[in-house]
Amino acid sequence: MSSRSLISIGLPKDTLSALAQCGYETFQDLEAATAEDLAKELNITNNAAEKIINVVHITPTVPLTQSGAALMNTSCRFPTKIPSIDRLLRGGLLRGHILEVTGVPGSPKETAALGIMTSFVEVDEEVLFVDCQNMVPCAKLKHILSSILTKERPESLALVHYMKIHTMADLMVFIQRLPLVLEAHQKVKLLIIASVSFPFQYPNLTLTSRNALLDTVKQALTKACTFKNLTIVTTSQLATKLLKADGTPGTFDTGAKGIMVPQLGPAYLPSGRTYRVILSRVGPTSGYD
Amino acid sequence: MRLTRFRSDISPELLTAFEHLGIKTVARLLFLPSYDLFRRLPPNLTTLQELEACLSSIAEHSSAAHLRGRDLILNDTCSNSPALSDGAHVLDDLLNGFGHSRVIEITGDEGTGKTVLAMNAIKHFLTSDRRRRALWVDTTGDFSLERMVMLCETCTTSDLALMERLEVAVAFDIEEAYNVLETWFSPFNSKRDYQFLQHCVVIDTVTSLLGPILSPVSSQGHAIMVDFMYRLRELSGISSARVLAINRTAMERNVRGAVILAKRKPALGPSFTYLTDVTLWLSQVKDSVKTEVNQGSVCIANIYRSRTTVTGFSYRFTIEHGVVRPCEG
Repeated sequence: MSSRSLISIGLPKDTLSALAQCGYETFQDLEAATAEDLAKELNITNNAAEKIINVVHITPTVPLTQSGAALMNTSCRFPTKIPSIDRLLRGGLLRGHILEVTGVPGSPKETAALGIMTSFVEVDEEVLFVDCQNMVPCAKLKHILSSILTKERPESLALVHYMKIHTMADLMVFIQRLPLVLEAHQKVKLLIIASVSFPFQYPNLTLTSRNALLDTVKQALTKACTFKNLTIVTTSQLATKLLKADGTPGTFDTGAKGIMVPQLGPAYLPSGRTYRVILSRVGPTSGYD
Repeated sequence: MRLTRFRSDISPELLTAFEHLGIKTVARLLFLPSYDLFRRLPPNLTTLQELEACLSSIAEHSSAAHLRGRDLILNDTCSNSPALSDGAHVLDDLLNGFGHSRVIEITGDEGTGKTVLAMNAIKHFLTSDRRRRALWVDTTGDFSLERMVMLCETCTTSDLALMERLEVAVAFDIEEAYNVLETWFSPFNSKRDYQFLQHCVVIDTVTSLLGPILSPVSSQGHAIMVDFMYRLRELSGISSARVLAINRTAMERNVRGAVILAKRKPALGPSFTYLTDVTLWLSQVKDSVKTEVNQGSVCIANIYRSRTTVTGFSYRFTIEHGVVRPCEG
């Protein structure tokens, strides 16, 4: 048991001073204490004493650190099946990393995500597909998966889990429950969130709330990538941002030029392991090669 | 301090007798005159001499360990490593601790090269000795293993061997950071290793751990901050480690709370700098044309405050493609 001080837990002031008066200073002092004895000695409720004992006796079950070599060894690349994006990613998306594909309407954002999905299914790994805007119906997924169905791989349909999310609340519940979902489905190695920006178009969302929600998403995604080695692909629309002639932000009345930027910004992605790709059109008749 | 921590010095019957008298802490025990205490104990439990011997043994074991000046100087000279960094003195002095400091704070505005400097320091630390290990605590999710691997590709030893000695942990709040540090440092016993500096820990950034708990209406956050920094010093002292804490900046405010434009200071309040041994302030040279640090801009590291070396001393270096190099000219 460590000699970490009890101040670090953040207990209420009265409890802390009661603990100090009875000589409890470090975790080591509480090693042999029980909740009932502690409650009697400190003159606090049984629940409060139990909470203190639980915090002190928590031992983390998952390994908290990973060596750089172990992180490097998981460097399998999964192609998107779109050659120009694969060239940008130097062969494909690395496992445990995040790819955000944004683009103008009609650009193959979902196609890139589905390409990575087939790459994962081809190696018999499970995929969780979350659709936030009904852009990819279940039938389309079945059609794509049936095209790669072979004698050796008859179960590719069973490898993809599909769910729809429409509201901000549903998305945040899903994000909070992500560790539990991954625990229940250990073979899921890829998460695709299509149109992740759509639930954020909530009419009364203040900037502070939005930033707080984006930060929660970033933490959850980073933990999933680090501890569960989950690969994530998100797609999003672009938003128009207007700038005045001197480069400062403007409005539709004062702006001199408009630029298109990904709708959510980089705040919801851990920058150390994310690739952000924007697809745009070269001309009215061009496609992708 | 509870008396139960000193079971080797007190017999169980004596401990029970003390508890019946309401004496559970070392402070209460030692400040009572020994004869008064002897009179209050049940008869025939112990003699006065035995009681006094027990009290002096508890006093010895509950006091802080002594340090010899000779051993401290020996530790200081042994932990200095030879210069490795091709002349970038800031890296040599960072690894040597600017003297013998344990916790170094690296602060500066965004884009001034704090993370790059720390990555270069870790690379040199690991290449200098095969027994050395490093821990990178990522508190924002922005650590890029690829950048670290690319940086290590410039050194002669194999990447994988180096990467095995670097561990990466993610901790988004103070509780997770405590768990990571306690777990990582737990294999090391309490005996100090005077041989050489064995471990290095980088916390990038300490602002995201401590900033959210500080509050203007309660001092509990400040108490937790102080406890965290003391614990870092204690752990680094026990296991012969150097800790680099990367801190962001905040706006300087005058007495009335108004913002003083164009003046920034290290975040986490005025007392944070006193919780570390050295505070290094990074800035970019103003006349450099390039705005991105990775494209060969000149940076200055200024010793903002230090316990162990001269304050105000500056180092100049350049950062090209993520590598810290000495400044020419």
